[in-house]
Amino acid sequence: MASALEHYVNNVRTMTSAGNFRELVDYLNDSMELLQRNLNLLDNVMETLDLQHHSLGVMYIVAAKISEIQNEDPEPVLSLVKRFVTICNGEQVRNAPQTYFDLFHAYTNLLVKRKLNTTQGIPVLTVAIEKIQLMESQLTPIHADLCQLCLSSKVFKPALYFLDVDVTTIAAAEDHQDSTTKYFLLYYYYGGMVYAAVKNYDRALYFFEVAISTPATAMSHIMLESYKKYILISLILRGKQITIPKYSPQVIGRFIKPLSQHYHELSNVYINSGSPEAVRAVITKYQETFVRDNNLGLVKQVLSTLYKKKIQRLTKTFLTLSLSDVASRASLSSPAEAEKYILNMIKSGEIFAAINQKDGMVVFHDDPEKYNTPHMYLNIQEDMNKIIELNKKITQMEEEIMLTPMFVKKSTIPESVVDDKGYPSEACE
Amino acid sequence: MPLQPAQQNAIEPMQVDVQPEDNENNEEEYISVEDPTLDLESYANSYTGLAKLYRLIFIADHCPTLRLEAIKMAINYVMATTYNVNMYQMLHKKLADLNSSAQQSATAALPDIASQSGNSLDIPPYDSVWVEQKTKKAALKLEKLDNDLKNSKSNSIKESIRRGHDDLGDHYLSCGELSNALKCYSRARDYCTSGRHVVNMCLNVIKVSIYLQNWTHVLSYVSKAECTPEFSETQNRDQNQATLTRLKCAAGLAELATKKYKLAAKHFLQANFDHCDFPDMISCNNIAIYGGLCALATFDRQELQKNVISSASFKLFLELEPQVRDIVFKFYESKYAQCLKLLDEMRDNLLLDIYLAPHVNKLYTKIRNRALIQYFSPYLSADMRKMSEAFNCSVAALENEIMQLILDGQIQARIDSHNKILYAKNADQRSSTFEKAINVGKEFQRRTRMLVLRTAMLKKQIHVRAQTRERQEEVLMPSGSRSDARN
Amino acid sequence: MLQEKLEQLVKILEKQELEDSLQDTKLYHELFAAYLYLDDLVNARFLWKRIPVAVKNGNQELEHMHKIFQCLCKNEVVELYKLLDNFKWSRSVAEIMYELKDKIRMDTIELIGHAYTSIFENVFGEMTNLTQDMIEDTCKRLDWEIQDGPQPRLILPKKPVADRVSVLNAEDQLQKLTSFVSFLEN
Repeated sequence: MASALEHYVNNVRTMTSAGNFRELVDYLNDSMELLQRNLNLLDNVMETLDLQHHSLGVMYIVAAKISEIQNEDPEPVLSLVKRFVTICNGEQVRNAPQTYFDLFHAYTNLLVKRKLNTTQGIPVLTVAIEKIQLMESQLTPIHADLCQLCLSSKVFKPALYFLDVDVTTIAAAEDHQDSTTKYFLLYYYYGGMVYAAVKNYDRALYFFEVAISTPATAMSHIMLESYKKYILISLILRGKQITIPKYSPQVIGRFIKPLSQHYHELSNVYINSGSPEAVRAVITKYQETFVRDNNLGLVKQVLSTLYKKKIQRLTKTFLTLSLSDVASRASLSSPAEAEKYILNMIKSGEIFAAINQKDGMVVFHDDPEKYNTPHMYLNIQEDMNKIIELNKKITQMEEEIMLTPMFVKKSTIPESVVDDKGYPSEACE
Repeated sequence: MPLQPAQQNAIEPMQVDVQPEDNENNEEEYISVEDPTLDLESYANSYTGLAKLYRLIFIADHCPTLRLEAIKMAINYVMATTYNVNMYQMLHKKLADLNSSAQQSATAALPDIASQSGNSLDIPPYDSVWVEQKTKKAALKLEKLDNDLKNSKSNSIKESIRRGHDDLGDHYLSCGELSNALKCYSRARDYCTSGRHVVNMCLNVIKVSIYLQNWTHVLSYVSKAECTPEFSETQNRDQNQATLTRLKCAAGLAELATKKYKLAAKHFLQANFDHCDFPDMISCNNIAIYGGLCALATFDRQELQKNVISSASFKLFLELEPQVRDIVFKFYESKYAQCLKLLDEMRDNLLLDIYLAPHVNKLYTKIRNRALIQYFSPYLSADMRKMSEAFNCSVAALENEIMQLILDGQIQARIDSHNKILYAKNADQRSSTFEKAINVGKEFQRRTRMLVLRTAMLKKQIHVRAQTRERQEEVLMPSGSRSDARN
Repeated sequence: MLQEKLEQLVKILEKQELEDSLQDTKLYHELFAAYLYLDDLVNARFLWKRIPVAVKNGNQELEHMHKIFQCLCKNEVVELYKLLDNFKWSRSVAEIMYELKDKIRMDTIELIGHAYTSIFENVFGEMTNLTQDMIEDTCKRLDWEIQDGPQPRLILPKKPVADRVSVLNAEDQLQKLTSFVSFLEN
């Protein structure tokens, strides 16, 4: 009703100018229903509010609009969100983080479900993240949305920009722990997929490892899929099955491993038999599973790395080898194919060798890196700097903990005096 | 291993000797030996009791040529010395199988099934009278021993109770009921009053455990016996030595069966020749062979020299088995072709040995690998053709073997397949150190970043939970987690 | 030169792709060509995947570029030369494609220098799309020996010497060294 909405506008105005953001947020949470009931009037309401000045109020209106969108044309809402995010006031909006996050979750869902032009959503989300982030290394639930949009639109550079930054803190609203966990897992799952797409397998493995070592007492499908990809990528990267970290939850062993039987079998055949026919047989046997999980691409790459690993093993044992021997030992079809493979691997720097066409021989060299060039020196220096930085960060974190009253109390008072459970009253300051 | 539990409760002794094959994960389990040069009678005479029977059965199972003789010998022995009716029946069944298969392979179809076949097999018929008699006798004796034991228990004389248990155990052993025997012997433990009794008890348990092939049991009781205080004193030197040797041999067998060849070798080498007299477990020849082969497969040159070649005590064992002695010496003198040839000659006989058979192939491979490594160690470059002659195989096969050794890291070399030369390769220490350092650095970075991330996760209590409506009581964290603006 | 120019171009085009709602086909042509030149096969693949089907169908130039992309993935140099030669490129990408051909040739020659200790003349000619005279010139320039003998003759390539310019400042190094040592001491 109009008067209720006027009431709304007044409250927003007064509380914003008074700076009572906490109260305002509470009021806004309560009036969400009101807004949702009066969708057709919301445009008018927005006219009366200033986007920049009354960001919180406007945000709730936008959230209401987007949550109630059914089958109508999404364009106005989408452009509204875009305008909102560009102009809104980050400081204000930080008072109601969960609504902000939910807004963008809804936005992403809309784009993805309706198969709209997801490329358009990417700059919007990029700005959204930058507005709410307190520092570059803070992870927000919107990161997952951004990765999802990037995956669906196949534009990866914006996502990579955020993915390359290592996370040191997490932005989360209180009491929304499940949602935070879900988007945390999604971020690492989607992030891993992005890295796998751009063939940065090292980082992809890291991301999947984070996903599967998240504390858990219940099964999660995201973790299941991450685990499957983890197996495949560890095969591609290292050629062996990397054991999952010790601190991963028991859920993995109990529930997830039994559900990934096909992947385990593939990995076993790869490692034990090492013959391409056997691997290919397993792949065709379980083709359905792989296709259903959208992992067929990765699986094919596993197969192609098999040949490469065999050739690399040859470099470790032989000094010279005839091309026909290479072909037979690496299960390739002919010396010509062997030559092609070796040439490709030399080009990509995976092996060091020289082909002698006259005798049909290959000479394998050791890594010619002698670690005595200035270039290498600079590399090492950079690495050392990074490590020093990390060390500083850890010391800093340690200091933080040491200064908390809880820690001081526990470490100075003998244990017999302090009751383990007796400090609720002295909790957060 | 699904068969293990069945084996531990084996009342049927016949299951026991099948186990060695099934425990290994090799594909080809059943190795049938065609031409052994074994003199069955003298071989069997070095053993008594169940050891003899098991060995004969093993030979019967694995060697068609000696099968009949072995079974006959076994039957005679069973009838003469034991109450083991089950064993007798089992042996006769084997005999019947042999008979029927011999009849099937024979071209002439014999009309009379009960007749002994036209191959002059000369089999003693199934003596059901003997079976009945022995069963009755065994039952009687059992009753008597049981009563004796009850009496002793009511009289509460520890020593007689202990002896009663022991006797009962012996009887069960004779009847072939191994698990009951084990139970009785173990019960005697509570009634042991002196160190010697404890040691005796341990020895009995060890004996039965060996028959049951329960190797962990064997090892634990060996250590138990060795730790008994009275035993470590030097009274009754001779007796102690015998017991010590016996324990060492039992331990050696156990380690051999669990594939710990180096430990097995060490145990066998500590056996004392003069006090080596336990035909119910193992013969001196066995010790020589087992010890020699395991040592050859696992010791390096110095150890071999010190413990085997220069060892006065083991030399006496080696005299019993001149072939093993030759093999060890030839290996040490780097005469690999002859050494390997001798090994091959011995192989068939070894495959008939109940404890060694499953390990023969592995030990041989190990010895051969050691030979290859030792051969190449003084060279910077070696001609693979000469090497293949020395090792009696083709150049291609040699290439494959060496490739495997290089991949395992046992030889530092590279193969020049064009000219068939093996070049020794010196690892460049400096480069590898740099590489390692950089890798460690990268690993450190990765882990630290993961750690920082995990701290952030824990602060925000990122945790996958089952979707329940009721929230659990949240554990309060120390201040700094919830509402600080820095997050 | 061209490399840096193209890197800038890529940045601009990518940004444009995200901003505009209506995509200009010219943008796709240029971006694809730039990726091909810069040997950024990963991004090229995904660009191809996201170009709308409507734009791709019947667009000869894009399809031709896609074929070139596939050859680059498999390193089929011989095919590449053929494809690059027999096509009339549109104005915006023509320069890039001409340069691409030369670049591929230079890269292949360098690769052969690294990877082969002896290579047959005809194979060399195929891989670099050079005629016999040009081969002789190239070998003379690079100081590669051509063995006389029956056709095809054998060429013995040599490894190219990498010329790395080292930029090291002594003071800089000292400063870094002191900071490392102080870190280790504390």
